[in-house]
Amino acid sequence: MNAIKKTLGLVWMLLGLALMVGLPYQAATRLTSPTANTEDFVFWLVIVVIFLPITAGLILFGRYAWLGEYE
Amino acid sequence: MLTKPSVSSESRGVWRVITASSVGTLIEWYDFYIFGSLATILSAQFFPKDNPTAGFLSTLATFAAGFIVRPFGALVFGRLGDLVGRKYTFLLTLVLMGGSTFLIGCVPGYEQIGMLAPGLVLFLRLVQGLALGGEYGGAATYVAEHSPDNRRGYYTSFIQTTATLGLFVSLGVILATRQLMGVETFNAWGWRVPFLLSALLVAISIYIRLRMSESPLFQKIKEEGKISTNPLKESFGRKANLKMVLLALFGATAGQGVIWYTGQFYALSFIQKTCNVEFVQSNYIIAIALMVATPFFVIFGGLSDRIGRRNIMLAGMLLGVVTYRPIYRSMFEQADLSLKTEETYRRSIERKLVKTDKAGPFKATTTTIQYFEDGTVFRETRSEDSQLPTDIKREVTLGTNPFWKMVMLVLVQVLYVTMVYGPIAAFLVELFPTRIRYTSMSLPYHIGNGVFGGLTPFIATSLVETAKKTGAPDAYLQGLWYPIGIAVLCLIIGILYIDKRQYKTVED
Repeated sequence: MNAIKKTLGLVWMLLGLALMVGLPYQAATRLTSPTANTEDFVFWLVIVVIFLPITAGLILFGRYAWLGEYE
Repeated sequence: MLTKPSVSSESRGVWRVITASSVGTLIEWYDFYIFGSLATILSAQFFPKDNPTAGFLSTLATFAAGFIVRPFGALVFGRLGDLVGRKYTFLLTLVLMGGSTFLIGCVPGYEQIGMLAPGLVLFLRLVQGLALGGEYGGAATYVAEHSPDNRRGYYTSFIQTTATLGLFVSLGVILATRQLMGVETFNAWGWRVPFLLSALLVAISIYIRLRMSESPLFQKIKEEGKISTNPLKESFGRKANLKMVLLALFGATAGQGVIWYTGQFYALSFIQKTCNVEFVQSNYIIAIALMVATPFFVIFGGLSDRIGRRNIMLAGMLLGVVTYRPIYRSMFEQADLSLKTEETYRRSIERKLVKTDKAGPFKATTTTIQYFEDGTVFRETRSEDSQLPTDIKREVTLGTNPFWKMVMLVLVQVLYVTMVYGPIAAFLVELFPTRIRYTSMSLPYHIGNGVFGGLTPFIATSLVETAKKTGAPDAYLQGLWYPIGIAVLCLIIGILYIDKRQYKTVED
């Protein structure tokens, strides 16, 4: 079980990194589209600003799991 | 020094604590939800569509502001609660919430004071969110610190009923006021009544709470001089505690948040916007489901004292993950007119020419009413204006059979909510030591419930809109991938990393 916890720690870190890159990329793609409006702007602004620190938290959680802090 | 009370006086004391805490928390949820429930009317009053800045503020206020400031409220008031005590902190949050809600009811409309109106409303909404961020952690901690170890899940579950009851009361007050005044008066000024009523409710709650004493555990560490001097640093700057905050967030509260908001809010939004069910009937569907399911918060909270908190919460998430898509497909079918048989001989079409203002042109409206064998009625109103695109309003009033099926489908979802939410207060308070409990439990709760949960309807709706553009046949179900994805992540982390046997005490 502890080996699974540690291995998945790596998965959480990679997932966090993917989201950290993917969210701003998605936001930039959507907001540069000619159909983007005010609501899209608010939506993506909120998503990026709020979820980026949370993905940092997920990376940290993964790091702790990888280091065996939850054993 | 603390003296040991007798069992009966201890029991009476706990019930007084539960009542004082629950009434106040219920009122705070009521205050928070009336804004959301009246968003359309508030938008028209304060945020006119022809002003782009007001439009921006409207989107921000109705979409996110109240939810995204909740974690900041958790930090500000959590810190205060760990420094000066639980009682005075959640009294302060109550005053802030009641005051801001009352003031929203007093703010003159955009037509009277211009851009100041949306600015004030947005500011007051932010204060509401901050206050709510401080309230819940205080109430849960206060009750938990008065509860014996073997009944903590049961006693704190009464706090857990308040969010759902707050929503229920807000829907009830809005529907009753609307019914008493008539739709036009309600839309003109009657919407202010539910906001103004908050002042009275808050005054009663403050009176009750002022008579309560401080939490015995907090009092004890205060007398021993063990109060934290810097709760924020101790909560989030030390690895031993921070790792538990992260575990609480990713292993419990994030999943709880999405299940909570899917079952109660996304369900309502889906019934109204995707199924086009009429406003009053859709609110009745949710209100009945909430009323029937509410006792289950206490049942699952009590059960968590015997079989553990973790498994009940994770079972609720698992059920959501597995059944959401079939449930929402079935909800859609209840209002799907293509699956119903029309009584064509009863169809009526009415055409009218209306003048919206004296100088303007005539506007043609065509109302078609269709009746179906199961009692469902469909009304479509097309308003045609030479200068604007055709405006089409569709409204479905469900027959008895589909109405009750819809209630059952929402009820099942609210039961999942009771599973994930009933035990979570006890679970969270047991994770952290008394000196930093308020701060440490409030942040993961409000990120999980407020951010992951609160943004569910908006993220899900956005996913549906994207799917519609790509022409996916079941686009209306695509929004569910957000709560399902978060719940799966939480489920895996919860199963692997949370030990189901630990955390049964709040003593340090």
